[in-house]
This record gives sequence, structure tokens and C-alpha cells, in this order.
Amino acid sequence: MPKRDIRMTPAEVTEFLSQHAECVIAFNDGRRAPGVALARYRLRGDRMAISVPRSAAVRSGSGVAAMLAALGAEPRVCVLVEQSPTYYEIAYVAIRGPAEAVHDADGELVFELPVGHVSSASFAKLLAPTDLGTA
Amino acid sequence: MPLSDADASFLGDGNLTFLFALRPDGSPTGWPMTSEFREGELTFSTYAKSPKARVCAQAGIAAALAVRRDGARVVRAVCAEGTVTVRAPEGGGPGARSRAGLAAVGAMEVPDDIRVRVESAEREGKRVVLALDVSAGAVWSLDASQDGGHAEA
Repeated sequence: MPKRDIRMTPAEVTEFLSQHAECVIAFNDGRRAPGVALARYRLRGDRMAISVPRSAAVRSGSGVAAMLAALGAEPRVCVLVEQSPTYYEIAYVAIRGPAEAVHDADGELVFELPVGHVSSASFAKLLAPTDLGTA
Repeated sequence: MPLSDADASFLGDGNLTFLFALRPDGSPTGWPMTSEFREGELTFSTYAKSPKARVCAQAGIAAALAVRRDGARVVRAVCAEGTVTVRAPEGGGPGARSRAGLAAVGAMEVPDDIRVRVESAEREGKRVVLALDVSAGAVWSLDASQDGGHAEA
């Protein structure tokens, strides 16, 4: 059986991102494993405006300030937005790219991420009729 | 921070778990998965040729964030990291082994046709298990499910 393409189209990615506001961020803070933080975002055209709250847990003994420093040294991040209410409603978008305009806004870490390099999946497409290779 | 009994119990719930690793060029990448927890390891089932299997094998170390949500809000989370190894699935596979266990903790039911396909792929040697050693404990933990919930790092 040919493998079904379950990636989202760019329009579907935009619609999906516009329906959510929570995300998970991975970043390189100089350790062998990525740092990970919970965050919120708003979609502004083809860019995400992301904020990590002051209270966010990031690393043992460190917080948002350490993440701010890490992004200054290595701005590339991976941001994941996901939903999974039921199996065939599972969908996610992963965006990899450089965090831009990274700054501290009253203790909250804020940055922008262009929605450029995207990986995605929509399990609803597993139910779609076979498209025989058509777009 | 050692893995607390509460965090270990949470990790055993078959949660949505985000798996992250660094690519050879140092950039982070990740995937949403379902994890199983046993004997200090978080395990993830995937296809042997998948990007996540390749990246994790190359990196040798990964981070995982297990979460439980109330609607859109994450109310419980454990972030852990450790060495990651790639190995063949155990007999019975995660699909067959996990159904009763996952149902018991309220984890998502996987459709039968999908489960059959996964088990077939396991028998054909097409699937592997990514095993993340989290015995060193949580990097950080969040429990907002109770009044006055807090995050600890």
C-alpha cells in the first residue's frame, strides 16, 4: 500500500496555528540535550509572536533569564504545536528556525519566529480517499 | 533533581510526550509522541527509518516533556533528559502490550487497523524503540492540577 501523505498544506498549517495558542519550545543552551519550555504564541501573518512566562520552569536552578541568554548565543529553536483529542484528530506543526527580536518584556521572554521550515502531520488525512498522487 | 514518586507515577500514564534532540548542526528538533515508562526509561515506538530514529541515534541524548492538558492548558508536566538508545521492540510490541494498560489510565485508543499495521511492521523488523534513560530525574516538573499549583526546576 503506498504511503499516504499526511502533511498539511501551507493553508492548513496557517489555519491550524490560528486555532491554537499553546506551544512547546526546544532550544540549545550549550548542553547535549535541548532545553525545553512551555510557551504561548499568537500568529501574526507568517510569523509567530511567542512568549515564555516569567514563572516558566526551564532548567534546574535557572529560568527565563537563562533561556534569554541561551537564545542570544544560539537563536535556533524548534516550536511544536499539537492536538490529540482522538486518534484521527491528531495533528501537529513543528517550526524550526531562528528566534528573532528576542527580549525581556517585564520578565517575560518574548521573540518572533518566522513560519518557515515546517514539519506537519494531520492524521485526519489517513481517512481521506486515496488521491492517486494528485495534489 | 531525582525523579519523585509523583513524577514517576505521572510518567507511567501513557501521556502525550514531546521528544526533542539536537541535530548534528546543533539545532533542536522534536516530535509529539506517546511514551511508555518502565524501569527508569521512557520509551517511544517509531519506524526504524524515521527522522526521529536517525536524529536520536546520532545525538545519543534527548529530552522529553510529558504533559497532561485540561483543554488547551497544560496542568501537569515532567521534563526529563538522558541518554537515548535504539533497540528492537520487545515481543508483543507496544501496540499489543499497551492496549489494556493504556485503556486503564485513560490514554488514547488506537484504531484496530492502525494497531494491526504497527504490529505487522514490528514483526517485519521495520519498527524500533527509542529508550530514554530518565533515571537521573526530572529537569523540571509542573503541577498546576491542584489549587496553588507550582513549577519546580
